[in-house]
Amino acid sequence: MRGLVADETLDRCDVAGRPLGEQASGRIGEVHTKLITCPYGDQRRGGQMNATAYGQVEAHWPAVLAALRQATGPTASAAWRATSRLRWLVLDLPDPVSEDIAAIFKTALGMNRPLTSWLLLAPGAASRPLDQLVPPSELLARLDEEGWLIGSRQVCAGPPARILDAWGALSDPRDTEVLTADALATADRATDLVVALWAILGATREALRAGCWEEAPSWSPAGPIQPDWPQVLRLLRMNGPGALVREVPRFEPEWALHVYDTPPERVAQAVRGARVALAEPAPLGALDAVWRRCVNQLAPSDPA
Amino acid sequence: MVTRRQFGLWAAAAMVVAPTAAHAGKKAGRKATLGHLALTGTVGETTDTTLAIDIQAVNSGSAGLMVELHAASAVLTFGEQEAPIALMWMNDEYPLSRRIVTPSFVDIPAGPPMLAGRFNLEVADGFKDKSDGLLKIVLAVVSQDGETVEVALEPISIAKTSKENS
Repeated sequence: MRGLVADETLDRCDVAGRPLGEQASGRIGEVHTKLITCPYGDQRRGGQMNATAYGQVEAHWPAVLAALRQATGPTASAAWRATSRLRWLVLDLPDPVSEDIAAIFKTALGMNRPLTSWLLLAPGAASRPLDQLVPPSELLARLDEEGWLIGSRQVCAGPPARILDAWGALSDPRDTEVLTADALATADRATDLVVALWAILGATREALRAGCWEEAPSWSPAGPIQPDWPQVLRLLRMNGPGALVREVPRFEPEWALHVYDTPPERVAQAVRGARVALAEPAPLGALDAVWRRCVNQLAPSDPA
Repeated sequence: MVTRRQFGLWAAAAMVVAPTAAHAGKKAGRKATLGHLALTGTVGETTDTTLAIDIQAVNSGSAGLMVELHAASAVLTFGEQEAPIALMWMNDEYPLSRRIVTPSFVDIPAGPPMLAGRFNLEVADGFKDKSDGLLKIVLAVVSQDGETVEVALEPISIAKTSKENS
């Protein structure tokens, strides 16, 4: 579960010893990394980029494209789900992961975040084709203008043509056999759990604004996480996928459903449960219960 | 340069102008703005080279507030002498960290004070042995509407005793 909620997949390693999160992992110092100056003609130009990581992705590019095609479908929601599936695929794989899986992970991770943001901000877009969300002719400019290619210390190493290739693959579903059905099903559950987490944490923040001194007298967004806090408060403080909810002033629980064309009932239940919990006398405890139900449904072998 | 960290600010407008109907109804008549927010700093944990200032927030409005707190500037003086500050950051947004930590909105309910953030300074070794220090901090506060205002905290005394007690 920590692999998911605390994003510990970034510290998982491939057979070459490279951490999947590259610069985002504290283990990056354990491997050789060649940094070069970015030559691309956008905001990245002149920034430091990770040539070693890009070399790995490039070496496995056919597998990356095949995985994107296998995991995607006809809508923008399916494309988003593909990037999410491939980003969480490693949860169920033993260490170390193969280099082609590492290349798939890195590509999916880079595409997942902007796609998530664009869908969250565009209600209804999830059920339309990906090209209507962002046409390929506008993709690079939009990524550049909105800063998606700039990291905290490095820039994205993907050449513009490769980014367009990957976008094209997400609009081109095909039956390939890169990934097993079991692996995709596990990644689907993780994906839905993350979306449910957004809804629950959105409600948690609303409960905090209303004041929850009796349930969490020592709550603070700063300082150490306290073990006696309700679990939703501990999840809210983590820097995993739930951190997205802290980036906006208010995250309505229902907003999480914008990523779906047809919301899975298990996630819709969590959203409704989160809204109902806010009316309870002890909303944080009620939200803890909603989270436990989600985990029991979606990750029954993992303790909540 | 724009970075992906600004996602929250784009989203802010969309989220604030389109609350759900049920939510909007429930909130009718309740209000809190940045004008209701009072911020103070007190000396928190220190090491030989870092100084943490705990930011306490009081929201005197009638509804919860959502704000982002950023470190804008800090000046640390000992008598007439200004001490160099190598780095400053809020909470765990350490600027040299490997993992991106996106700025977070903080929910501040109306009512009693709460620890809303921790302002961290990396300073020269030996500052603990000096006395009569004075720290002036300016925070950038981003409102739920995306508006940014700078708030100067009351100067904080960095007395030797407070450092020894922390």
